[in-house]
Amino acid sequence: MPRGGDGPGRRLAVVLFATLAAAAALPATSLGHPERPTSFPDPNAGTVPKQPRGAPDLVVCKADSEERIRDDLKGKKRKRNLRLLDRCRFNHIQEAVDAAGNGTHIGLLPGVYREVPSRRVPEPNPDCAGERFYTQADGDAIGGVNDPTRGETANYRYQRRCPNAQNLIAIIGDSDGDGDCDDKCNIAIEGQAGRKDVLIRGAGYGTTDGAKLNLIRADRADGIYLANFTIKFSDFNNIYALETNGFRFRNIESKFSREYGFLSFTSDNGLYERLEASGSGDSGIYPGSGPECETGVGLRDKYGIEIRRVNSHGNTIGYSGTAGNGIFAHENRFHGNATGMTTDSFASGHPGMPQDCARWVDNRVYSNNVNLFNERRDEYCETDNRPVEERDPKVVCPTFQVPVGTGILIAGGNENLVTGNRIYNNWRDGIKLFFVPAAFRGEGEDGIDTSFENRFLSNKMGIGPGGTARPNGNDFWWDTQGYGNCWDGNRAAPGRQLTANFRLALNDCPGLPAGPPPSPGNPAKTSSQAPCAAWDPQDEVLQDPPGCDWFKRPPKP
Amino acid sequence: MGRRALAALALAGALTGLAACGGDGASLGAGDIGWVEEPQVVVPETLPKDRILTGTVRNDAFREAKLVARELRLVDADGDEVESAATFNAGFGRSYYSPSREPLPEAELIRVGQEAVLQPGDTVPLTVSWSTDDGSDAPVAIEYEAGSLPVP
Repeated sequence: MPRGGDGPGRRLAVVLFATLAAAAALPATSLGHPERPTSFPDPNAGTVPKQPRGAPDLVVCKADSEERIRDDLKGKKRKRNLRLLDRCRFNHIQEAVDAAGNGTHIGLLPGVYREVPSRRVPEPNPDCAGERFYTQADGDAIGGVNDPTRGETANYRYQRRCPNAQNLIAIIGDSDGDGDCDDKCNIAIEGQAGRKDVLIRGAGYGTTDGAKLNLIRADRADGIYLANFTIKFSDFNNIYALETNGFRFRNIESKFSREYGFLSFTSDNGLYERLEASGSGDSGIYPGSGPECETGVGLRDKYGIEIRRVNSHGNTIGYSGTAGNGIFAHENRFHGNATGMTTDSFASGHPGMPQDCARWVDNRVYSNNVNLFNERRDEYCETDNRPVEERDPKVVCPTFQVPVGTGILIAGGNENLVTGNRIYNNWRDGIKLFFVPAAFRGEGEDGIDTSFENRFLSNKMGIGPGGTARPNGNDFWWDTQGYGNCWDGNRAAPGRQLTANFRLALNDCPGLPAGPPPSPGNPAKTSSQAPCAAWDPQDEVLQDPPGCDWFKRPPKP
Repeated sequence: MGRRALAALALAGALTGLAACGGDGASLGAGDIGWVEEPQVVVPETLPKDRILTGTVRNDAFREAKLVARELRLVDADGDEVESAATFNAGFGRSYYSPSREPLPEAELIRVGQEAVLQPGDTVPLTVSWSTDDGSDAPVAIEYEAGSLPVP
């Protein structure tokens, strides 16, 4: 679908990944619930923000910033930070954001930013009680997960009026609620030293005192630029961009989040670059509900969100994106996760369903064999044994079930291009492709409606650094559903053959055309994935459902 | 069907229903819910001691039926429970709610196949899996409160 097809303005859509209303003062009745309905930004407007030049307009520091500068920095960086220290007027980042106008450049000097005033804001916040609403009020737009007895969520006005109820640092850019950024737009928040010299630290998970769902929330904050710091311990997202046209995350390290490191949703013109993401219960990076691809334009214009030079490891998933459309991911490393990369069509109501049009090029996807689903971890993460608040936040508890030992998983995606990647030492499958029942998207079953025209070209399978053989357990897995999928030009290590669970030679590109009835899939293969849907980390049997092989690490091939 | 399983099928209607009202013909089963046709049992390639049963069930009663996957009971010929997992799906999917947060809303339970609400004549896929490696005898039925589904 062309990005410009609907013209200017926002197209109504909804955000349906789970969020939690819980934080410090939350009563026991708090519930997981959908995010508010959201819209894609105007596909005809917006650009990726540029790196700010010159000295920051506002400077934030901590009491020990001078000591850190003198102890830890050298040369020009030291001199520059000492000069900036004289201009420091804020001790909390949120205070500087509150003082900022459009285009303000905020500089962070070395220190640990706990944002204590924000931590003290209760959630739910009684000052904004009138701004919360039941998602049922939006009727079918919410896509079938409404439940007026449970589904209370916060609307945009809640975020604007009480920005720190759910968020440690909030940049909420739409002053009049018309959907467009007109305040706090084009803000840059940039560490002034190395990324390890500035730490933004959340309080932790669940109902821990001061815990926040999001550590940085950019909401309708077009042109947001975040760079040069480390961030950890959110209850949901360490960094979150929502309904934002133009965002850039640069040289940031995200460590430990209950769910996501970096997450963008119904946002456009985005750039993730030079990031490190680890310790996320779900995904290190999550470009979800991405913009539709534009047709008939240059490569970089076609894909609304670019991801480059990201190192994502030690998460349940390195990269995931439900409805992760219009994503161009290249020159990244996804390794040491349970699964390296996924994109899928699991959700009803996620804008952009079913998923399509991701381009993954020149990535290294390797050694994704970390089993976070083993018995010991299951026992640790079971909330009957240990409430979330009592967990060590550095212990990753998976919040998404994936097949341990998988490089790339496309679940119900269409028209994706996976080319020129180096995929090795994933002990189950290098690339796995299977369908997702339409019922998951709230659609009637019409037989076959996903897994179309995905192309897997010229990937190096099972070839490690220096050309050595580092085999995957199996290079390609497909349930054989769909049409137009093809595998061509992929290469195995010298003296080895590509491996697949289907007849690879029959599926050269361009693949089976759309004309003939698409393949309904092999029932033995499609059904083999279904028991994994029953996974429940809070149930002793369903932690490892019979018939599902995902949660046992395959032997080294 | 974890250890929390107690009952099998919760019928939303309060009245006693009449069986075999809907569908194009008699389904397979003893009760209001039956297989549309004989389900298939697959041996997963990587788990040769496990079994995956897939099929489609239909509500043949005149009233709405609500099925809860984890309350179904897979039983052997002696009526002993066989540890199993069930989902009202033919393939994989998942919830967007985090599993360590609060219970899922009703609509979400249905969407992801943990529950099924069937109007008369409605059908839904059902997948049940178990292991033959835990000393249990072979299962013969999937029990619910008002009846059972045969396991081939």
